[in-house]
Amino acid sequence: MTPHPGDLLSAYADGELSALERAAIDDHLGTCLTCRRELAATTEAKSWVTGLPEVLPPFGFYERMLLDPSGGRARRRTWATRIGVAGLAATASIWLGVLALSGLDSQHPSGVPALNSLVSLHDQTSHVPATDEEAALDRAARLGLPSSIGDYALADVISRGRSDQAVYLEGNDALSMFLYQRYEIDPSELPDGTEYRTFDGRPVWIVPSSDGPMLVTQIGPNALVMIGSDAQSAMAGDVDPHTPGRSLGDRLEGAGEGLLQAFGMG
Amino acid sequence: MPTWEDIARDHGRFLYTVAYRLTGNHDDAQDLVQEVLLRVRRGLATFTPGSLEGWLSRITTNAFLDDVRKRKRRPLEVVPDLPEALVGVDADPEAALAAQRLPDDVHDALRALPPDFRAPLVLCDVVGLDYAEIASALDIPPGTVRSRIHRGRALLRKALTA
Repeated sequence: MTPHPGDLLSAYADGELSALERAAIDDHLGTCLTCRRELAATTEAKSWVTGLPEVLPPFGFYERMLLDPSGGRARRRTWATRIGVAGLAATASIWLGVLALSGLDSQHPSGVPALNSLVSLHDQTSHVPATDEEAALDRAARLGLPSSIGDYALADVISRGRSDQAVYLEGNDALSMFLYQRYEIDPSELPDGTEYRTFDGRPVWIVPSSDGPMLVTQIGPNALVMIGSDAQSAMAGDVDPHTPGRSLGDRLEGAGEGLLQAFGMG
Repeated sequence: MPTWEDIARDHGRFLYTVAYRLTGNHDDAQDLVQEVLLRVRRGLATFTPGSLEGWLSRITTNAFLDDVRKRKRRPLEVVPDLPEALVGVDADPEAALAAQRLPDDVHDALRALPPDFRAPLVLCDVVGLDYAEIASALDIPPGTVRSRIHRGRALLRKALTA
């Protein structure tokens, strides 16, 4: 009997062998049950992967990147204008960064969100289960928000015009992330008792509240307010156990920088 | 010559599928596609007519592996030795045929493969590149492509028939 072909069996299944090589393996397979079974097993494993279905991106993923199919610098302004007019709540750090840097919309709000009202919203909504989990996950993906933060799983995303609240739950503990699009934090308007710190190189303000310290930070052109007992851990630590070393700030900011550079705006 | 917008519009679903199968999750797939479109935009001037999807697959895989290295994951993880025969002598062929592999199970098993085994398998069985194209895309010898594909399939079988 000729030697077992080993990994040549995958090449055989993939049609990668020369006629001579194929004939040699055919000759061996004619006398070797073990290799015939191994070829069947290899072919079956190949079929599992080739049989995987096409995967669709989240709704609107490419539309947010395309907007206008015509060419040139004029397109950038059209994109930016459309973003401003439509108020798209797309992956915030990408689109709103483009808009801000294009100079077309320099009148974005600045200051500090109504933090006391956010505490109330957090208390009212943080334990209400989502009516449509799939829609919540889709909305979070479009905003660039993770589906989990450490042990906290996304429970709901509530949109309120220019701001969105993502609620994460871990048992009875809740974490709310309020994302304000095109919002510039004015540190001088933060309340007394605010402590300034840096997390992962980003400026963060810790604001005392009745519900524990709130975390206020600027991520690109957008403002983020986090309320919940683990807000600081979430900001500093890994967002997804499958991607260690990647903080929430990275997650929200990093994806957008590449496209800004692509348009010469980075 | 296509524009990057044409590519995003006409090949977006293909790109996303490859990115998803490489990264294993939607969050990272979106990031990978965005990075790919950036590289596409930069590289379009050097694109020579040929297999566009092959070119896109190479860019996607390289971006994926660049990110893997950046995250300091070991590019080649230690895998256990495998027995020579993958199928037991007493295997019941009818039972094997009847066993349906759910796509989610296959995807999870694929995601669990070390990146250096997952990438050639995705390029071969999801994208449909031949070994020479895969070798060029990954900058590895064709013999290495062959052995990694074979070993990757063996690992999938081990995961899905355990």
